[in-house]
Parts: sequence; C-alpha cells; structure tokens
Amino acid sequence: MTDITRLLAAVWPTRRLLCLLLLTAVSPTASAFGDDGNDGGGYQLGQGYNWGSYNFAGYSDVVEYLPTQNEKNQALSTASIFISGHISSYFNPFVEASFSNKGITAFNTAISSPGQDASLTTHRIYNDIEMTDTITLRLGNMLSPVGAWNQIPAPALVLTTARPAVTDLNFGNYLAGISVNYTDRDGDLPDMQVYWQPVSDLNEQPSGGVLDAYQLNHYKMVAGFHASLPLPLLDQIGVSFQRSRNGLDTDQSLYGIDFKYSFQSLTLQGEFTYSELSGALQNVLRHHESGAYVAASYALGEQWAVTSWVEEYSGRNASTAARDLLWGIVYHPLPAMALKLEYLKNFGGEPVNPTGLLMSWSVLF
Amino acid sequence: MIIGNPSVDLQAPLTTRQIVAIYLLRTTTWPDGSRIIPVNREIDSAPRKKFTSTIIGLDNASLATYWNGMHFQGKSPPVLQESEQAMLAFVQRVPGAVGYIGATTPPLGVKILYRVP
Repeated sequence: MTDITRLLAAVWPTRRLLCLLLLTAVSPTASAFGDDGNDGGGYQLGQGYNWGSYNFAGYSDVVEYLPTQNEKNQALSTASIFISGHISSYFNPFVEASFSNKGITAFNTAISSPGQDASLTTHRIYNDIEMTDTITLRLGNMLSPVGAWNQIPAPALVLTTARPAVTDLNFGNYLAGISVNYTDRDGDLPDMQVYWQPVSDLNEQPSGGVLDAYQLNHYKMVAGFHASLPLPLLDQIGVSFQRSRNGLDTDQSLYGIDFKYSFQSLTLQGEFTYSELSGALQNVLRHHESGAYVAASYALGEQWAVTSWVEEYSGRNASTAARDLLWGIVYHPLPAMALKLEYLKNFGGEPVNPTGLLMSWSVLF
Repeated sequence: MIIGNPSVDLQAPLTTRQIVAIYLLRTTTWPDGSRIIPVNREIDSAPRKKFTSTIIGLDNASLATYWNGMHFQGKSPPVLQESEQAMLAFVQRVPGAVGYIGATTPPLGVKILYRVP
C-alpha cells in the first residue's frame, strides 16, 4: 500500500476531497532538484508534496470528548494546510490556515449539532530571512515559544489529546511581530528565540478545544524569549519568559521551565510556569498563577505507547488549584498517524480539563 | 559509507557528531555556504534502519516523529530515495547532497565523507 492510499484510507471523506484537490492541483513532475519526478519531488506522508521550492502539507484530526463532569460532549475536527517555501536567503515564506468544525452535544443525548462554531483561521503567516547559517529573522504571525508543546501543537505530534493547562492556557500562544532565532550548528549552545509583538493580534487566537472555557485569546502586546539547551539527541531543557498585555489590559510576566528526557523506551517531559499579574485586575481572584505537569511515555515497540501525565494548575480565576491525572494509550500505524484513547481524572480543585474520556485520530499529511 | 556530491568541499572526513547534526537539521550549510541536502532511504529499508541506529543513535519511529515536528516548523526533512541506485544517482547529481549506501567499494562520481568502521 502506498503512502497516498494509506492516507486516503485514513482521513475522513470530506478530507479526502481536500487531499485529492491538493494532490492534483500541482504538477507531478515538478521537483526541487530536477525534472525526472524521482528525486525529491512527489508526495510523502507526513512530509507533504514538494513542488519546486515549495512544500504543501498539513494535518487533519478528529477529536471526540466525552466528559462526565460537565454537561457537554464535544466533537472537534480540524483540517490544516501549511505551505512553506525556500526560495532564497531572504525569502522563505510559511503560511498555515485551518478549518475547524465543532459539534456540541448535550450530555447523554443522541442529537448533535455538527457545523456549530465552524471557523477558518490563518494561524501562521511569516517570512524567514536567513541572516547567517545560525541566525534567522522571522517577520509575521507565528507560534510563541513558551515551553516545547506550544511550538509543535499539531495533534499528531503531541503526547496526548488533552493538553495540560500550563502548556496552553495563560499566555499568548501566537504573536504577530518579529522574532530572532539562533540555532547552534552542533547543539553545544542553547537555541534561542527573542520575540516582540508591539501591537494587537492579527486575529483572535484559536480556542483550545476542551480548554476554551478559560482561553485568553486576545493580546495587545507580547514579548519574550525562549532558550533551549539540547541534551544528547532529542532531549532538551528550556527556559521561557513572556511579558504580555491581554485584551482586558491585564499585564502578565510569565517565567517557565520545560524539559524532555529519554531513557531507552521511557520518555519524561514536563513544564512549570509562574506568572505575576498586574495592571487591570478587576476580573481576577489572585495576582499570580502557576502550574506544572510531568508526563511519562513508555514505547511498546515502534507503534504503541502508553502515556500518563499529572498536573496541578492554579489559574487567576480559580479559588482552588485544579489537579488532573491522565492515562492513555497511543497507536501509530505510521509515524505520521496517531490514534489516541485517554481517560482524564480531575481529582481536585475547579476543573480545567474535566473528568472524561477522549479519543482522537490525527494524520499529518 | 556516507557519500557526498563532488561539490562538497571538506578538509577532513565528517565525524559522526557532524553527521548527526546534519540529519537532525541543525547544520544546514557546508563550510562554503552552500545548502546541505540530506538524503534518506524509505523507512522500512534495512540500510536506513542500520544508519539510524548505528550513526544517529535513535530508532526509526523517534527520528521520523522528530522530522515531522521539524517539518511542522517549516524545515525540510531529508529527501527520500527508494533504492541504493536512486540514492547514489541523486547524490552524484545534486550539489550539496549527502547520503549513505551499503556498498563497501567507493562508487564513481561521489565523495566519501565517512566510512562506518
């Protein structure tokens, strides 16, 4: 079975049309390196379609959330397409647009409302200017590097469907402005990113699926940095700082640390953040918030893994800290596909991620 | 052995650390400033499994997931070639290309950048 037939068998019928349109809209003989169609052009599952100096790719996911702790079931489906180009040192554009379709069902009823709350959003649009072989200047709308999770939030690539609150909830997930990125060639020095958004968001940030009840989705200013020291191979330890002013004129200074460490089949990762709040505070219960999660993933061969994380999160509007524990199993029929089944238990505080079952099917195409 | 296009101008053979940095997409240019184009075999091929475990020190799934993450961030993962002949032909023809083959005798038209002991 080819990658294309695997993909088409995997995605929803509506996505099938999208994929076919994408795949047939470009020339099959185009290639970045020649014109014989067999040297880097063509389609690869997970890595998209190369056409000249451009790459067309995306992801699709379907999430079914069955909470037992609140009143709504949710089905969220997303299709995202991103196009990247490597034209010259000065012109390396990247565009990502997503279509989300949320269906909400009253708890324990069989009648759903598909199509409710559908949205089309341009998540990322920027250009990279390669100043040197290690320093890149990025201009546009981009993901903000607070921790590691927010830098690669595609469902097929993250550990679990349910996102720990600390990785998502209380900071500017995107920024529209300028960023200077340093990548050390050998990994001896930390990779660094310094960024600044001087004015309001280009558009409201997307909701966080099951987390959107607490989503702060509009920022007037965002600035900060992230440094990540590569440990051997794919492990790393990072620090984050972000100063922001949200739509309610609440100022926030966030300090964070994140890590990932692998030992044979076991991978540990986690993040801790602490935020001080100032400015307009009329809508908050406390002047600081904090959270931390620790996750473990154990690979059972190359396709299966069991995962777990535990988190405590004290939000600005909660009188008591939310405590969550998640257990899950992940199946990767291919590295670019993920089927996840999870059970999340809220065992204290006001729930951010309510107790319930989550299922998701994600494809990076 | 690790092979490169004849345009690759190095003063000394690559080290395994440098090869890892290339395939983890950290090192993206050769010393003369030209772009490095890493080349890979298909995921279930024996040469790729050997290269990934022996040289990179990872398993196929972990490395593929890493590349998928890099691709999500706009970086280009290694180019796939689905046979040793295709790999060799690509590296012979494309300036800046680097790849690996299982042959023990040096083929024509490429530079040997590293020999696996």
